[in-house]
Amino acid sequence: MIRVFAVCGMGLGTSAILKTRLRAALDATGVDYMLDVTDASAARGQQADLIFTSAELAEGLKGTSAKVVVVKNFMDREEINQKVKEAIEELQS
Amino acid sequence: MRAGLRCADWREAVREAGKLLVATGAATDDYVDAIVRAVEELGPYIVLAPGIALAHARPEDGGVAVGFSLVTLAEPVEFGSEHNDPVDLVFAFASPDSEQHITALAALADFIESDDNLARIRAANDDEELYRVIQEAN
Repeated sequence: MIRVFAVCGMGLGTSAILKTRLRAALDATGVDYMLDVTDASAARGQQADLIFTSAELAEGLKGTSAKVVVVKNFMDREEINQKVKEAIEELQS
Repeated sequence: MRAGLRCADWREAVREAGKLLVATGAATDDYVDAIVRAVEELGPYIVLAPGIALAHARPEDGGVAVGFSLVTLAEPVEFGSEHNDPVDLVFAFASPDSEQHITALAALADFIESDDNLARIRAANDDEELYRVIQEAN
């Protein structure tokens, strides 16, 4: 089971949009996962394997044990699919 | 929604979008202040795609009802976003809690995913035309 967070500043807007796109991308990889939305401060206190967030918030998440993946364009499914695929492959290798 | 506004900077653009939420009763004046503060504190991550910002604060900052607004800018403004500046489309939303806006937000995301929709929003010359573009897409 891979634990994945979609993180934005408040866990309400950007990350909610990201969640729907991440779900589609994760389903396509066939991995067993758990996906949650959270804000940046809560994410620091929780265990996750993968965190997807924006460039601006990624810096503040560096101390966590999770692999932090920066999404540039939250509307771009291709970018998100590609980054999910790479991150999952890296976790599984 | 309002089309082709001229705003000096991102603060003004965000306030204009926020004011529309207040005008429809979706949010309080405090909520608008909170949106500006959120961008100052958390950074310009609300610029989620090239040219597009999604402005909002927390429900407890003065979210009264689910509401969405859009301001299109005649001249784009800089938010300081690493990848997605400059911005000419500022969406804002309010919600009374962390759940009620999710369905509409997903619909909005699907709407702005279409380059065709974005082109039509940007081409709208006045508020009425902008309103029509959004209505037709729904």
